[in-house]
Amino acid sequence: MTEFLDFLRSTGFNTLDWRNGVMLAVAFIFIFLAISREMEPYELLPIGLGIIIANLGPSTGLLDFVSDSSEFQKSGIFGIIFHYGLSFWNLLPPIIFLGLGAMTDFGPVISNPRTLILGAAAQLGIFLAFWGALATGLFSLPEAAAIGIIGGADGPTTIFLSARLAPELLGITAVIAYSYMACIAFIQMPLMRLLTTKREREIVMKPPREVSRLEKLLFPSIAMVLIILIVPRSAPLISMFMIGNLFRESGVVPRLTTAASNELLNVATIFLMITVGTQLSADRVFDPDTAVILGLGLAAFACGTAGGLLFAKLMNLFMKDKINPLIGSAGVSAVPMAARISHHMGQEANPGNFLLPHAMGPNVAGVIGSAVVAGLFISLI
Amino acid sequence: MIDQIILEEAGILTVIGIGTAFGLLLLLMVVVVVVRLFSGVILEGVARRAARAETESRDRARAAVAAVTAIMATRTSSGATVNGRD
Repeated sequence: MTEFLDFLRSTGFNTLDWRNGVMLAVAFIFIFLAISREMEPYELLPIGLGIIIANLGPSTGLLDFVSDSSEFQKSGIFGIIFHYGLSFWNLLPPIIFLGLGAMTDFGPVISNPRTLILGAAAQLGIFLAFWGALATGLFSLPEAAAIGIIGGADGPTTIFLSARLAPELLGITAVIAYSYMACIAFIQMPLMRLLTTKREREIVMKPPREVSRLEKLLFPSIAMVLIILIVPRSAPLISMFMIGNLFRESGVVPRLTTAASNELLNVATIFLMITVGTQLSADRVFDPDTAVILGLGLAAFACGTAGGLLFAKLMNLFMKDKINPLIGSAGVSAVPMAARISHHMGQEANPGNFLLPHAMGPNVAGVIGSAVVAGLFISLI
Repeated sequence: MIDQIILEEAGILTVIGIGTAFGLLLLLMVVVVVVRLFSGVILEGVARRAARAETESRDRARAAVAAVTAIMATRTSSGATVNGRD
């Protein structure tokens, strides 16, 4: 009988409470949305599976990490990936940036350089959340910066900065950034409708000009040198992004380009997303600070979107060739979801509108902008 | 209430952060324009060289045709056949 009771105590059921039940329900909703609605499946499915793992109790040992243990198998796989991939070595964000660079076409930016400014305007959300976090009095300056960067809508950048400035918040900021990115359509679309008129949404932009190969080779090379010289701390992300892009544009290393944008990116995504999901354990989520960060992250996303939209409208006051303000919201990184939303909204207003190539300009600029702000935070705090 | 020192530091961070983000992306705009001009000049030079080479080869071909025609005409008028057989 004692053995039977010991067995019952050793099962995961013994450590679960109602909060784990809520988290398991959230996980199944994520998985349902990913499979049934095909809503950002590459994020929601692995995150949902990670949430399940995180909420089956600590006895699995999957999330443990013991650095100086002489005993075998004291660390779990997700504990090791979290420690080396995200926190201590911070290996995964630069690898993801390499893949993103290999997938990025700077053509729209080079063709219409005005869109770069929209990427800067959308970074306003970062600073709003930063001030919001400070105003609560709950967070220190480095923690406020880690919360603010959620507004950049860039998962790898959020992890990169949080791991450096506020490792204790890393799990939750990463989860919030990726969760909001997965739900970006719900956040951006109502704001886009609210802040633009139908006439503005109908604006048709001139098709982008043909960009020469030489321009596509020169731009990332010069941009990499300039950005790293001005903000050296952004180098881990910016260098990998531009290297990936130069693999692509050189045209002479197709195998490296494919490896960076497919195999490497996919492997990094598997490890990153599941591990991010495993950070959503019930005790962490049902913490009052987490609710505050959730609110601030949402405000940051909304303000970044509004910043890009309103700045595009401001630019239209001074420009002869009007830009469709919907592309401004794509400045919040979230590549390529934000650009797709701009395109979708544009087509909804005017079926002949094709905004995707135009929206990719601010989208790419947003990636650079948020990496630069993260580098600045690391340098100055 | 935020501590005065933190407030000042946060203010400086915000100004430098927004300033650098805008400044750097403006600088990249300038880079795009310079790259466009530079590549325009280079590509124009390449195109001009290619056009010159094409013109030269076309001229050479024309000259060869003219020379062959002239030789044929001379041989015909002197009674010789083109392939040199009588």
